[in-house]
Amino acid sequence: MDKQQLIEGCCKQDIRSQKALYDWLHPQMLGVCMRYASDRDQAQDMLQEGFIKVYNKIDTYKVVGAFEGWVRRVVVNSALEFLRSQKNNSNVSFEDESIMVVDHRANAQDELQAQDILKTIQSLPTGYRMVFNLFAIEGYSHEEIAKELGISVNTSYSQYHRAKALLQKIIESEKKTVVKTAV
Amino acid sequence: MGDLNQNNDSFEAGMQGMFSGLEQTADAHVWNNIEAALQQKSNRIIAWWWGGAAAAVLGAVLSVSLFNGGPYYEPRISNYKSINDLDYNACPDSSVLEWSNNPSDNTREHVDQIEPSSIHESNIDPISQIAVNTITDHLPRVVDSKEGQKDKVMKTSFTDSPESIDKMSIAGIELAWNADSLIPRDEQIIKVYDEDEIDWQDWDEKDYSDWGIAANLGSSNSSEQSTSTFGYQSEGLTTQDNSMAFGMSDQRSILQELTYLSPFVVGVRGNWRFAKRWSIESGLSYSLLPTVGESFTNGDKRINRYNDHFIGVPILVNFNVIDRKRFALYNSQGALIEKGIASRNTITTYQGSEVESKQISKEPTQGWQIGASVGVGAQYKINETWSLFVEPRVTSWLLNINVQDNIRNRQAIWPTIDLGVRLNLD
Repeated sequence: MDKQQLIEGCCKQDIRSQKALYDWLHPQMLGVCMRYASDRDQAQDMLQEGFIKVYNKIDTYKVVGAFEGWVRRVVVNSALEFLRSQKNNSNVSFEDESIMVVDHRANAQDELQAQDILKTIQSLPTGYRMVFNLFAIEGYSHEEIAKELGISVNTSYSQYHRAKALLQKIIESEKKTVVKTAV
Repeated sequence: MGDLNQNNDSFEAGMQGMFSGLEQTADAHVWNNIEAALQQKSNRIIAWWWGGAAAAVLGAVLSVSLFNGGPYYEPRISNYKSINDLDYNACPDSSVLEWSNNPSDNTREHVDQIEPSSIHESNIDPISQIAVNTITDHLPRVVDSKEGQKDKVMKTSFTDSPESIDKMSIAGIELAWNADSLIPRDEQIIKVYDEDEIDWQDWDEKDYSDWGIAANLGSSNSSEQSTSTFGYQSEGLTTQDNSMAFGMSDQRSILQELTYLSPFVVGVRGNWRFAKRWSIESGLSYSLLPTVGESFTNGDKRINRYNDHFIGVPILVNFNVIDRKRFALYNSQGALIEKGIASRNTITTYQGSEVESKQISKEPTQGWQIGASVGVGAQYKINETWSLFVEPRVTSWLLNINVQDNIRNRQAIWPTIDLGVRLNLD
């Protein structure tokens, strides 16, 4: 079953096509969700909501651009919606606040791994995490983020730089640890 | 990794590179939950379809007749009152009778325009014979008088030859006419002309206020006789009392001016695609065919409103000429079958401008109407299940079986524009 057949099958609500699409794309999309979630369970919940939206909206997909990119956008939007709708995050704060970041360097034995940065990102407050993901990884502008999240451009800018500074500090510290260990 | 701390651009690029290949396999329960949610949605769609009422509302198809061409006028016969008395002056010599509405005008001058040989005035003695003449034409007309003025006469024709027109038919006409006319019976003269020699002109059809019409006439010794006068629905004639010298019907009718109003049609349609571009469409429809009749009797006005109700089934085959993801252009052809279910007749009588009485009667409507229909349509898909459509269509109601007079058997071709919501079952 090629990609086009897969899409057409999903448009007709064919369950085999839907399963095939899930098998094909869900690992990438779970990787996306992991960055927005605070843990794996939450990421899987986001993934579930995201794929249901993909199936419901697939007949609106226009054959312009990569299909995977379209699915990714739907999943990201779904993840943002998920975070906003979470009861505990109903008042997602974008105010300046002290960032309590769990330091995972204790678990890093050799060099800083993507998984370690991921865990650091996951430990960011929800508002920071959303801004960081959207700007640094999804490539949104601060204007787009402000519009998407309903915050000011300045808030988006300042939160991103605070999150970035924190991550850079961790990364720098890790580099020194790695060098010292090597010596 | 070292690049992450260099500058802004490299930091973001490093992050993107780091996470671009991040993949994780989800636990099995995630797909199970998704599958359950999809199944639930599918069940909801089925529930909508079988839900009946909800589907009927959402799937309402509104057919609006936009090219009706305005009200359609037609005389129609309705029962009015009995006549039990007979008296007449008539001469059964030709197929045309003139009826004066002026009591004092027994010697109308325009009569002189007619060849004397074709004018007859005489009294006819009552005779006992069976007459079954049927009136085929009985319309008010204008005749030029000698002074160039217009004069009102009533033209009456019979299916039988002029020679066979008998006194009973003429008497019946006279009686019916007398019932509405202001002409005292003893002053009334019936004149019979050779139809070919009279210069008939169109009559102002709205001015019926002092004219009556006789229909369902004829006489018979049999207990029942049907006539089809003017092609309208007519009641059977019943001779209830053979002692009546002429065996006249005990019913009479008056002329009504009918206005057929635009039909209102609403229904549901389901569409099932059986090939790439072909689909079958069917469902249920309800039609209301309203007719308003207006008549005058001795200065009183009566308005009859007939509401005939029909249930129908369209059976259509559609072919998509253009078939896009959201949009389709198609042609559609098939049959429309409707069954009469009920009729409601509201009679309002006015004395001047005041409502004198109002009667409502309900009765079952019999009969079938079958039409052939072709159209083109444009469809916009809202989602996989529902779509909006606009469908200009032409329908010809070919068969009207035992159906009371209505606009569909008065106008052969019906252009309509159907608007609605379509339920896609494929």
